[in-house]
Amino acid sequence: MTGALLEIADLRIRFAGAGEVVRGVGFALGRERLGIVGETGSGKSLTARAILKLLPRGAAMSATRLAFDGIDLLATGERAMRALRGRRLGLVLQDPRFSLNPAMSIGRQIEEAWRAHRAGSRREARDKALALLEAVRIREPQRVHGLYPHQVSGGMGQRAMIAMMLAPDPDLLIADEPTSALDVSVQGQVLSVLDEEVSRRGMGLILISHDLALVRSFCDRVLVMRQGEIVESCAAAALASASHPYTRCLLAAQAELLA
Amino acid sequence: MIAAHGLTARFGATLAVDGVSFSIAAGEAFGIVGESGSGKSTVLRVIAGLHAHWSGTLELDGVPQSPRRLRPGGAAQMVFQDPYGSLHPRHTVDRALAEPLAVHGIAAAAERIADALADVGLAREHRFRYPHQLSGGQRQRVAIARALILAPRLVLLDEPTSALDAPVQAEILALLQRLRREQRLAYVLVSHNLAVVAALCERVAVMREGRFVEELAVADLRAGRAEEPYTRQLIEASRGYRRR
Ligand SMILES: Nc1ncnc2c1ncn2[C@@H]1O[C@H](COP(=O)(O)OP(=O)(O)O)[C@@H](O)[C@H]1O
Ligand SMILES: Nc1ncnc2c1ncn2[C@@H]1O[C@H](COP(=O)(O)OP(=O)(O)O)[C@@H](O)[C@H]1O
Ligand SMILES: [Mg+2]
Ligand SMILES: [Mg+2]
Repeated sequence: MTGALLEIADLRIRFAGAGEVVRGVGFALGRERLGIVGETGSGKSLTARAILKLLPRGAAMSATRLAFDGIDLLATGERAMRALRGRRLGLVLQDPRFSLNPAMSIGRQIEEAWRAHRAGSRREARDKALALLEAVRIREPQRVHGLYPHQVSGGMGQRAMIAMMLAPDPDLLIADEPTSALDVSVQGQVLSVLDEEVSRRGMGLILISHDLALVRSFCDRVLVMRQGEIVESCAAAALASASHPYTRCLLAAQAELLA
Repeated sequence: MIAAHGLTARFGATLAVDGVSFSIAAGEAFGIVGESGSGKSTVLRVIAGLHAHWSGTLELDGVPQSPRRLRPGGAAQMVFQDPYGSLHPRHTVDRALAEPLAVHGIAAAAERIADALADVGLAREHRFRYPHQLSGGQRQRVAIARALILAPRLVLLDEPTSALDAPVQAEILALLQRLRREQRLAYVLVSHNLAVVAALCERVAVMREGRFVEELAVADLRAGRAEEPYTRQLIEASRGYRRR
């Protein structure tokens, strides 16, 4: 499939001792929202990390194809990968406390993310950072710009993280359980920020979650993973008529509440 | 069965449970739902007599409890999220089930063990296996059998399906439903998952930061008839994202 933003074929990841934990995953992604849903340990995060070539030590990866915007990532060295990661591929992780630099103010981190890929003055970088903080609906951008990660709430930290990832205008954003560590009272807010920015910028999104209801309502297309394999791949709107027994079981568990 | 009033529990300076009141009749299934860290497990541990730093009043079967008095075991039994953690890795299923019987000096252990295993849908060949030789669902069945072998009237369930694969979760929920009916058990079920609570309980308390913010019937929960904004947020979140 040409023109796809991302192409993956027969992705396999193994650990010595643990055996193969991602077993022949393949999919293609356009400028759309793809949800990957599955239970803890099903291989979602490793699949996401493989796209960025950021696998943990001890992981052995193979694939017959791994390409981003036509670039063969299998043949891309670490230096070129680093450039891609900062600029064209963004990753938002579950807990902002572990992905923000604790020793740098939030505003500075967003500025650095922007300046790493743009020639621009300090002044421009600051204006851009403030605009991004506003875009993710932080009410007092001037004040928050100078705060350190430990001085903000989880929900605000996660929105700052999203602002940082959006700074270089990436083509693809991967969000791995972006709201799972947040209080339910702020989850909706973070999701709607993500929703709006992804639509406005027309980028591709991979949303990873263990929550079928979330993925189904947020995404255009859904992959269901189980034990390292994709067991179902369908349009979000077609999930109700999904045929795989495992998918049916996930749907039934959710229906329990609405019944 | 249980009457709790102003139940408060601490871990050092942390106020984990902050003045919680509720009562549960014999045979009733009561759920406590809330986010991680809201204090759900601590409520169960106080009822089970596993946490001594509490105040308030607590009656079990009409008998006032005190933090210092050790509770006679048997009346209430507990099932935890992770059966791997609660079963001794070097004890067979048989031994895990024999122990509570021995502690209470109950005779005819062999028959009771066989019955308990049959009740939870385990085969005879599972009896002399070790925990690592069982699947996650089978281990949870053993933990349930162990809780039921003393014929309690109250079972305290702490996230009993959260560590299990979805199809196995459904099996364990069905098992808990059947056992409750057959043995007329009362349950206190703790979960972060509204659907699990709705599947098993008649009444639910919503817990946040150590307090019960609302208590409501499961029928009202299902219909989205909640008074408190926080309860509504939980219900909304469980239904996914709504684009505005
Ligand atoms: N560093 C590691 N070493 C060994 N096994 C790992 C490592 N990271 C992940 N795994 C295993 O790989 C499987 C998939 O993990 P992961 O992709 O993180 O799952 P998910 O994100 O779906 O919860 C799990 O069984 C996990 O235990
Ligand atoms: N053993 C412990 N030591 C110190 N603090 C604890 C301990 N167990 C729980 N807590 C604290 O008590 C509060 C309630 O915890 P818990 O009852 O486990 O919540 P839940 O089961 O709803 O996730 C939390 O703030 C938690 O950090
Ligand atoms: Mg993960
Ligand atoms: Mg708990």
